[in-house]
Amino acid sequence: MLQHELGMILYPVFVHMYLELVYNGHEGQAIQLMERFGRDQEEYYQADLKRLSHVTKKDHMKGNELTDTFKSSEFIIRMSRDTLSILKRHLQEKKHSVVLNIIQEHLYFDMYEGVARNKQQIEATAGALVGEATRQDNKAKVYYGLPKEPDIQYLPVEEEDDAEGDGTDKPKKKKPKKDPLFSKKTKSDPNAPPVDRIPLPDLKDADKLEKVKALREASKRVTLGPETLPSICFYTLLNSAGVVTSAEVSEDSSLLAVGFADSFVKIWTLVPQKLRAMKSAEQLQDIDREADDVLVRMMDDRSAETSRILHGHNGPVYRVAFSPDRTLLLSCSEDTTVRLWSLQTWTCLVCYKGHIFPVWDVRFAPHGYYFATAGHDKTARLWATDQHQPLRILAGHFSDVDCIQFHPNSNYVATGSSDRTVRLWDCVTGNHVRLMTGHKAPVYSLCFSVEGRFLASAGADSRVLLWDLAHGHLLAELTGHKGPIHTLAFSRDGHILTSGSQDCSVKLWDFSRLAEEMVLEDVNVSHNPDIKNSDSYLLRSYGTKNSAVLHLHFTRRNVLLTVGIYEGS
Amino acid sequence: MQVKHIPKDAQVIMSIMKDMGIEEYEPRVINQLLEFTYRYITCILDDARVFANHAKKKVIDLEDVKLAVQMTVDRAFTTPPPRDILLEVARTKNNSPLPLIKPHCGLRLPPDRYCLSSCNYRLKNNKKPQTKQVHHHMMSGGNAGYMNNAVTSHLTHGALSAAGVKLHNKQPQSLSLVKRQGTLATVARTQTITIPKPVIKFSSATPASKPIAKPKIQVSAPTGNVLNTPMKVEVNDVSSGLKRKLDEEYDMLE
Repeated sequence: MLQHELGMILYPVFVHMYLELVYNGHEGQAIQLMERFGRDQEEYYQADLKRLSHVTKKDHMKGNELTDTFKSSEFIIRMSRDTLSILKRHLQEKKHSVVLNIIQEHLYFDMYEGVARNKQQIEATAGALVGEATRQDNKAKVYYGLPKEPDIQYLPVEEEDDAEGDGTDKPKKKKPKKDPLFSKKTKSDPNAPPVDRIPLPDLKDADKLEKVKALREASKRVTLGPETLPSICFYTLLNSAGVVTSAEVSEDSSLLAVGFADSFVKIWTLVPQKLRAMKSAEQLQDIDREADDVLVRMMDDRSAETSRILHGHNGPVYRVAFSPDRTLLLSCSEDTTVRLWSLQTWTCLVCYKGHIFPVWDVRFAPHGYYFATAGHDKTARLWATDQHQPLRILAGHFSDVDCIQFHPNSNYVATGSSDRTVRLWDCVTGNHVRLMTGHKAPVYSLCFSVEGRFLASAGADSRVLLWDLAHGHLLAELTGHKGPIHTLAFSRDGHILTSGSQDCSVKLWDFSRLAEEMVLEDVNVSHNPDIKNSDSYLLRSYGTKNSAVLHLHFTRRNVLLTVGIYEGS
Repeated sequence: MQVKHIPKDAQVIMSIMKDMGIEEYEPRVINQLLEFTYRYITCILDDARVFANHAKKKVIDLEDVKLAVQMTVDRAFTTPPPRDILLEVARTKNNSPLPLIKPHCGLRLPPDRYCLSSCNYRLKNNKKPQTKQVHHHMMSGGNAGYMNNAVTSHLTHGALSAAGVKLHNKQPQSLSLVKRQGTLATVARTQTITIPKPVIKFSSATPASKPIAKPKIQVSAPTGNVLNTPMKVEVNDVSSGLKRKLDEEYDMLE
């Protein structure tokens, strides 16, 4: 019963034995040790072991990142009290000094009360570079709820804004169909952060109009479920294998931005309205600034085009991100910079320098103003558009940070890394509040659920893992894909989770049923929940001819837009 | 079907890749790796030769090669800073609270000097007739200092006419554009990287017999620093530096 937990020490002890031999100059024995026992280790450690096997001399160890990580950080193993006492007793009796030394120096046992875990539970959270998460890592309180939305009044010009007004109190002349949208008051959620926890920009009039429009569209959307699957529209990029690195659709589904390996960013319009540029300064002086449609008048109709190209980067563009109000675009690149572009003048506004290595991902906060980047230098950074330096440096990963995502309430940021962990960071303090292990390969995609409680992550190990942010537990593991998964998306009502992968397929998972079954369990901090398994949750799988899926996006009406790259040969 | 004869070096590269577990790769990868290998080894051996000479040895020794490798590795192959340094930097940075957001209309951008929104060229007006105009025309483009042939011929043409008028009063100027590498410290040591600033030197030389001023433009790349980290110089940096220096110089010319 306990042997599975005890078996967890085999890998780190093996690695450290190998490193000891190399460090003390016994190259031949080290190679023999690796050959004899290397292949017996778990599948997900094989990649690291391969990198380790190239280090055979003490000189190789200096400056090698992997060996530095092993030597300087302890490998963390969670063990039940019983298992731990048996292990300690055994080591003391047998007096294996070598193993004892290694264990004392390089392993850290995080003890928990309760029954020892079974093989399946252990397998679920194993795989990270330096072991598992301790209870300390996941102790902090996380405000995963959504704060109350500010009441937005429908604004006719002559009425005064009444911030306290309820929808039903409005006089009859306003359109009655607005009332149901505003009349439901959200109860204050104990898990929601206070509204002023993180400074957020005030909503401008244009933003309020946008929100009203979004709410109106949301009321018309199709509710999805196992019986009503979404319609899917697939945009295929032809002649782009090896050239296109990223794609992104704006929040209202009107713009598509694609980042290229030769440093351009190209933007297309997906709606009949074309892309217009702002008028020149002389022309702008002549327009009527008090007009209602001043934002339309300031654009020059003669410059309408269906697509535009943005030049400026010096290397492949790895990710693009639209601002929520669609006036700005961020792009990050291998040239270590992040550029902010205006989608009204179609020029580059700012070039943010801070990372000194390629930047893999950049995301705008859902409320705008903040953005976060993830780079090769093992850090993620939180920036604001009006600061030329980052506000927060999120350090703690042991390897490149490959992807990053904001929580819907903009207070937290999740990062996925090549050290196979997912971390949740608090934007206010910059400390990590959750550490989630379980992936067996680098993590490439993260997505928060609509109400903010769950996080879905997926990566090169072709599995989607679902985490409960309340305590950082792994709740479910969805297998089925046969290739690295690069994109995840929740439907707008949060009922369906979709994943797109390099195996040219899109899979739909029944998230609403999963969520129901999960919340029923009584979960506390040290509990080891049973992991749900996947087959019953897969609703449908859609294959393409030969197009790897790059990006998934649900429109406000719950139509699924997909962008993929067709590989002809 | 002819069997392609693959040179031995390429076969070595292929076997290295097989060893590392790389199974699929484009054929050009071998060429790239070979080029890199040749360049790197030549660089190391050059440095080793210098060290051997310094120690007054006739042949290059293992010690010299080791020293050469040591000196190059820290400069050429930088890795991200170690985790403890990152945690320390992060702790300092994260201590300051998030700044409050002031109410503001329009785009929220950093102060102007950090934006790319200012004009990066300046047009000079034609206040002097004839000869001086030619100089001004040349400098009004916002190019990054790499002047091309068309411009050269422009100046010579102007200078020819100038030759007839006033040139014997003036010293012909020769322009040389030298890119000097600034101090490039690696991150592991000092956490700062300075972007190399191009420096434009103007020297007035008197070519003995030629009355025609031909601007001689040289861009010399620094040797030995071939394997720098991928740092690219921002174009605006160059043009603004250039603009200032050139403006100064042309004010002097008048």
